[in-house]
Amino acid sequence: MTDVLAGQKIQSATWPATVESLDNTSNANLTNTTFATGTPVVDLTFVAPTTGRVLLTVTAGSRDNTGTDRVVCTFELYLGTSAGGTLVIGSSGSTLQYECTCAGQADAYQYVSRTTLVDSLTSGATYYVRHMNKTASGSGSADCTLRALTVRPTP
Amino acid sequence: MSFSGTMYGSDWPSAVAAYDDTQLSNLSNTSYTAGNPEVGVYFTMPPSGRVLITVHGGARDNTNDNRCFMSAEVRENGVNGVVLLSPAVATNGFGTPGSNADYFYGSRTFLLLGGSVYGANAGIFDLTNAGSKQFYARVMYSVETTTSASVDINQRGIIVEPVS
Repeated sequence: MTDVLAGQKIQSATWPATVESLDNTSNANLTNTTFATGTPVVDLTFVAPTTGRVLLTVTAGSRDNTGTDRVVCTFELYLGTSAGGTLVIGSSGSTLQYECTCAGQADAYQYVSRTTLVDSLTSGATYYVRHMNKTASGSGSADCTLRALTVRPTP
Repeated sequence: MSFSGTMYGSDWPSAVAAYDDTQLSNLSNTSYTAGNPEVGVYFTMPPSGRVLITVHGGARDNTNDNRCFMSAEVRENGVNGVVLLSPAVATNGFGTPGSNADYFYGSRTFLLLGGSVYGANAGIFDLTNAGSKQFYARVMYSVETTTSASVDINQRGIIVEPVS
């Protein structure tokens, strides 16, 4: 990766397209307490800029009908064009720095985003990212109706 | 879209933002309104035809059963121009949980683009003279009034950033 220096001419390889994937299919009565992809899978591929840094935003609209459970959303990042590629950021360890959630007491849909700076990507390489969700207690009453991922290159 | 070659300053109009912390109390509008003061910005569409919009704010509900929705509206030219994007929390807004009597603060970021079939907010803008065209974006809000008009807002903001 290469930092952008003062006076440097900027080439378009520094600024590949900003991309977003969004789906508003209802995923209701969730019971999984480990991260899963949801239906349909919300995913996209992007090209890493020369700086190797992107801002990645996870967005979700979720609720719990009994006002006690939470939907927790994060992402998985792979080098390559699918989840068969090399895992870069997973969802099996701590995801506290990437997550967005609804409030545990939210019995009506709550919409919110969380943005993360992802660094040390290989310049020009293609990466695959997918939206993941789980529930805090698996009560079967939590729903997720909106899932989105936004990725944009950054200096 | 981005092409190979050198980029110039005109490819990157400024990121713009507006913010207000006027207390709005006991709100009753179940349809979107801009409120007073209005929180809006003029922005220039970059040649890429893509901007990232972030809506952010803080709201609470004293009766623990009303959500507040803050969503972006985008118009051509100015506040009386043609509406290009209507406020809708599912695709372009931020919402509070409704269950909390304490202020809840957060944000929602989404990509707005024109001339493409990609994404939920796609294909809205006419990209003719995109680099010089002015657009206007503002935060609109609406509330639920389940048992009473008890939603308060204390923060509203919007950020528009040109992206590639």
